[in-house]
Amino acid sequence: MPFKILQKKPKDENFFVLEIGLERVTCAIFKKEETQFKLIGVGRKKFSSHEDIFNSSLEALDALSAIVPDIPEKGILGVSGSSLRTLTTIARYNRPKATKPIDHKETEQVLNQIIENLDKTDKKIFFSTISGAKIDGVYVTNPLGLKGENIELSCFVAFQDESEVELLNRLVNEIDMDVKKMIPTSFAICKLFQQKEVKNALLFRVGSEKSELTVIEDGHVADISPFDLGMNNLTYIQFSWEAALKDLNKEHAPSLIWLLADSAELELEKLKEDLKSYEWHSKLSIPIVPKVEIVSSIHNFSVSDISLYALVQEEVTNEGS
Amino acid sequence: MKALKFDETNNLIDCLESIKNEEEAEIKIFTSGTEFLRKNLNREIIKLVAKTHNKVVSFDDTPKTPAVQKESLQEKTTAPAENLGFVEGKDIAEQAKEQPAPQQTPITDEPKKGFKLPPFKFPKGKWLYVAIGAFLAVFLVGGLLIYFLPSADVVLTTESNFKENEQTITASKSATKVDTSNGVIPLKILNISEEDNLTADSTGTKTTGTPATGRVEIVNRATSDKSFFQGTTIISVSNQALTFSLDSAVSVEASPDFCWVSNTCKKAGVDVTAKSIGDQGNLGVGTVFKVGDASTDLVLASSTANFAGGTSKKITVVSSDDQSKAKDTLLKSLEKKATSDLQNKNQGIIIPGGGLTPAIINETYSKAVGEEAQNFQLSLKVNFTASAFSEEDLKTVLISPMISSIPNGYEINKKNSKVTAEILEKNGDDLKISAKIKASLVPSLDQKEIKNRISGKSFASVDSYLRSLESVSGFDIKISPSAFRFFGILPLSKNKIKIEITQGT
Repeated sequence: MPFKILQKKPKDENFFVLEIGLERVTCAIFKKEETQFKLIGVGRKKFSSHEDIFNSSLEALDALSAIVPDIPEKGILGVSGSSLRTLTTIARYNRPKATKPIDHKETEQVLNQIIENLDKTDKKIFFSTISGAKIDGVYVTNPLGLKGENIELSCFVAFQDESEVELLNRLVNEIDMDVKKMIPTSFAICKLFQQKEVKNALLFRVGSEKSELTVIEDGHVADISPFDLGMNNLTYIQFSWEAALKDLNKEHAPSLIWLLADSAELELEKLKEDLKSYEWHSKLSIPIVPKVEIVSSIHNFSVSDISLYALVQEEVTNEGS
Repeated sequence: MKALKFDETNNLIDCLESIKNEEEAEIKIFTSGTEFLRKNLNREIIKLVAKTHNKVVSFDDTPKTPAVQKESLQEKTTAPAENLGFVEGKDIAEQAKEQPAPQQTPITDEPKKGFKLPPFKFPKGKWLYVAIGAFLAVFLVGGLLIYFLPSADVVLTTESNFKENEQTITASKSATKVDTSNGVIPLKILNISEEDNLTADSTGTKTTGTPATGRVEIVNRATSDKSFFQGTTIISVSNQALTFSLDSAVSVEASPDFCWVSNTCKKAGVDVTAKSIGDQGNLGVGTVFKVGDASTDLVLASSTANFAGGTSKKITVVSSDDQSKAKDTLLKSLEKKATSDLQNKNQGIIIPGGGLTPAIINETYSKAVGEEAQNFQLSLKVNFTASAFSEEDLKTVLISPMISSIPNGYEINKKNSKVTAEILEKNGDDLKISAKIKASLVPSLDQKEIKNRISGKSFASVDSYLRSLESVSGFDIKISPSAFRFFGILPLSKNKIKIEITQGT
């Protein structure tokens, strides 16, 4: 093979996803095939407390290594639960040059200004984005390239406690992961549902003992709230949506609730019935009972793998942008 | 006030149960060192549960004292050392230097010596035998490969022929099986509930606003007293479309004769309000009005200042037509969904036209008729009762009278035949159905005979044979693996030939 030295080494097209979920760590490798990513291996490990996350991640990675020996360095880190807090700030301003298209620099400037003014004591911002916009009174999901004078940008910011972000830093250093993006998993999942064009909705990710509620207003994620109730303790669960929606503007009352199980073993029918029979009008002044749908699969990805699929779509978006 | 403390072993449920069982109405919860109390929504849930039990909860976020923290840290750091088996003052590497135990002898018996073949020697000139053997082996393997490996898919295209039949049949709840002679099939009654929401635009308009108000002075030129009740109408002399009413009763004393000459006519002031909304009622000062039925020669009113406050605007409201259209649209969509869901749950059924009866269980509009809104939402829950029957049963009844009239050499392909049905009338539990079938006729080809005639034959002779079949209008043969096309014949084994009959368009 005289010309071997001249042959170009094939580019590594595999991509790594690490998801710190509600009750378990999942790591997965996707292989890029043309414009799509194909799941080629998954490793999972449950954890019971925040302290277990580090060791559980290493064990999940061990399980994955048994299936796919070469773990790619580049990857996306998805986080849920724990001390995750989110905030959506609406930035309103008038543009002096209304005929000039809105560019990346302009949105970044607004976002930076919002972030500078936030109270970041003991917290670290790990993700921020323009989640939605209103241009001259018209809602758009992405303002880039559009023109207008009166602008409202929904600036979505996600925090975690400093100690938890440090733990994740330690973890990615330990496993030599090159994190291209760190994102709340529920945010990524909601982007999949945006294709359904529902304006106001609720994503309810449910675990055995831990869950997460994501409020979608005017088609964009407004708030993500983790809490410590799940299918094992339904007695108090109605208080979770009461608490999450109590200050909601009634114009943004959800018309649809997506129930997404954190693992394939969980049966959500009982919770669906609880949501359907809940007195929305008398308790939360919501006139129409929202429709409740249990998510079973998206694009052939099962319930257990939907979050991974959502996270890897972020990579597709990165490449596309 | 009761103070509650939790540690890392407790969870949200422990906290909620403690609050529920606590007798005191005011509770303070110390949050330091507890993971679940760091989540905002957990705290909100705690507050709501407490409120449900008529209790008030407050949170104390003061961190633990350093002494306590130090103690717990010490506990944490010493524990793992014990678990790892370290012993103070001893080197554990020096322990456990015991020799490994000798290997146990196996408890099973040694295997017995087996049967041996007698020695074999090739006769002289062995290479000749080897060459012949190899040739025979290659020949045998080649023969087996040619016989067993190639396969052929033969697709025969026949001309499309259809025959139609229309018949009135009866679908009966009491029938348990198909009765072809009387045209009766069993009827099934199925139920399903469907619900959905629909957002629709409002198209109704309504004018809203306020009426103009002002003050007039009523002049009495008559020589007798004049009284007017509250609500008496006054009409603008210059524009009789503008009417106002008196806000209160008023009386004007009698005036002396020819008072208008000496300007001594009696007057009384009173507030008035326009009878209709809009700015056309904002009249200027000095406007003259006719008062009630009184003659303007004797009594008249005139505005003492500009009238004001009259406004009007057009707004978009929900009309009853909007609600009705939205209901029709959503009902149609639910009917489609119900039909599809029923057919998915009950494979092979047909719901005839008019066989789906809706019963609305819940119908809620987010905005009432006349309410201002650009759009509104309708939520509908409908219970559908479907009269259905088996497609197979229907085909059996419709095909039965056609059999005698099918042309020779043809048979009906039930799978490709299409049926439609519509309810004509209901007779008690039975339905009179108008049913149609477009039966697909395919030539009755003897596949076994065809396989016998083409297996192992050359492409040319297969071509001429298939062309000779009258009912076959075309054919396509695929040999796999394709390398076997090289031999120019169809597989020798009949079992490796698959025949499929399709209809041309």
